[in-house]
Amino acid sequence: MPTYNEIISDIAVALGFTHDDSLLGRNALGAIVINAENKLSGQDLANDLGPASSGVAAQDRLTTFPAVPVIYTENTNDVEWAHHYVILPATVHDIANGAGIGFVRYHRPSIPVNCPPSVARATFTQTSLGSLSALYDHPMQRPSPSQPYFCRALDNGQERIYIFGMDPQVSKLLLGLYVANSYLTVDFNSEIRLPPARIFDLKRLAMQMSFWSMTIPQERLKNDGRDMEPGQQVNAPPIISVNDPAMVSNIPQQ
Amino acid sequence: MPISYAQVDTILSDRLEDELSQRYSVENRLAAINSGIGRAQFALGYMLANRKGSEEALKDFTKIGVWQTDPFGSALLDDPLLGYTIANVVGLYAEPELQAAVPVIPGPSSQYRSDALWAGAGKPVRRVTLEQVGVIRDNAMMPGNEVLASNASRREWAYYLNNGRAWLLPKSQAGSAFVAIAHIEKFAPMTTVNDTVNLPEFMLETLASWAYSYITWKQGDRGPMGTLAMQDANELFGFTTT
Repeated sequence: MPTYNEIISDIAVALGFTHDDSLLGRNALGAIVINAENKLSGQDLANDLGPASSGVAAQDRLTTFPAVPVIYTENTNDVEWAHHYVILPATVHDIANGAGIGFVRYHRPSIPVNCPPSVARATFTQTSLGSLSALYDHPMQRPSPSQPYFCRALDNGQERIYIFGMDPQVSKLLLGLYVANSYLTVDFNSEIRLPPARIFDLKRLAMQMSFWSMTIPQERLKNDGRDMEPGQQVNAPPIISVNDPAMVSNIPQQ
Repeated sequence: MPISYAQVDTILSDRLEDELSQRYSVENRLAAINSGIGRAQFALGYMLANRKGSEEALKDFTKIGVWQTDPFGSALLDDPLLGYTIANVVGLYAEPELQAAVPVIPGPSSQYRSDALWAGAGKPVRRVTLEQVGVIRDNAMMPGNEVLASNASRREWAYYLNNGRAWLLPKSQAGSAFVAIAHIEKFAPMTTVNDTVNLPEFMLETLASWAYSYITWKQGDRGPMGTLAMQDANELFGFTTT
């Protein structure tokens, strides 16, 4: 698979962004490539994790995070409430039914070889904070160490996963996440995590966005900052199909 | 090989046909030649600013030296150790490849490092304006920003020129660092008939034509060579004398 740098160079050469006065630098082009990749990746995951799929096809994009620390706020106040939570270690894809979080499990590294691994043990079920009261009131669904639950919520600017029913002595969890790339941390020398068939879509999407930056805010502006000839027309992007990846929503197709 | 006064004067005298009349004094001639030198210098700067010329046209003018920046990330272009002064900066290269590793010499000032020999370009350094410097600092999309400065694989360099110095960005990574500077020497004007100017020999005709154009200015019609000088300037540098 190509690296980010290869795609960035490809677009930079195609659009004439290689000289020192170019409108977009490598980081700016990289941001466009990452955005396009996240969109395409989200579309693929929505299908691969959707109701018509077993989810197996998405497993090559699942990242596991062992030993994510569990935090417990003992001193409750008006801001913090007494519950266990973990801070999401990465930004996850926003997929229907919370599928961006693949799984949450107890982290138990010292299980004997012949026993089921920790990832095959108690399943943490995803729910919402608003549904918890109904679960606690139900004798069969009540959160317990063997039937724990988790909910996503934003708190203090952090993306948290609140844990319910878990033994309070547990200090670490095993997480499986479908991670979206973040502009500030991506290494441009790393390979793009998309199926090979999607690379063409990625280039086209990124090229469209890069081209767009040349047409705004002043449509007469040339790449190097000089003006176009008087009366010269700006090339408009071609009309694209409704089936273009740029037009397709990331909601799973039923 | 530099061009001497005598070389230019031979062509000038031939065209002016004033060998016996002494219509143009040495001072007239020197002034005209220096005007031509100034024109060449300015045309080069203009060409660089517009990026219209090819690099091939500059091959006889460009030199690359290695500087060590001061703790604030700037390099004094006209360093006394350089032996001449700099007219234009063609390009900068951060983290340049050197023929042999040399240690950083601690000190409060930048210095031209004659012991550090250029072996290849390091990272590209983008030219930015003084106005942009403030915008760049916190803008992770722009070369020279501080947001990604500590991430070596994502760091992008930029430079701006101010107060005779090239200032490297991001500033947090630019202190006491090596930077290669491709530059054009400032051509010193001739002051005596024994002087030379450090222009390449192939520019002799052009320089003489320009000097001719200037020296005959007083004659009103600037002589028939005036148009040729303009043509030279136009063809060489995309620059007109009118």
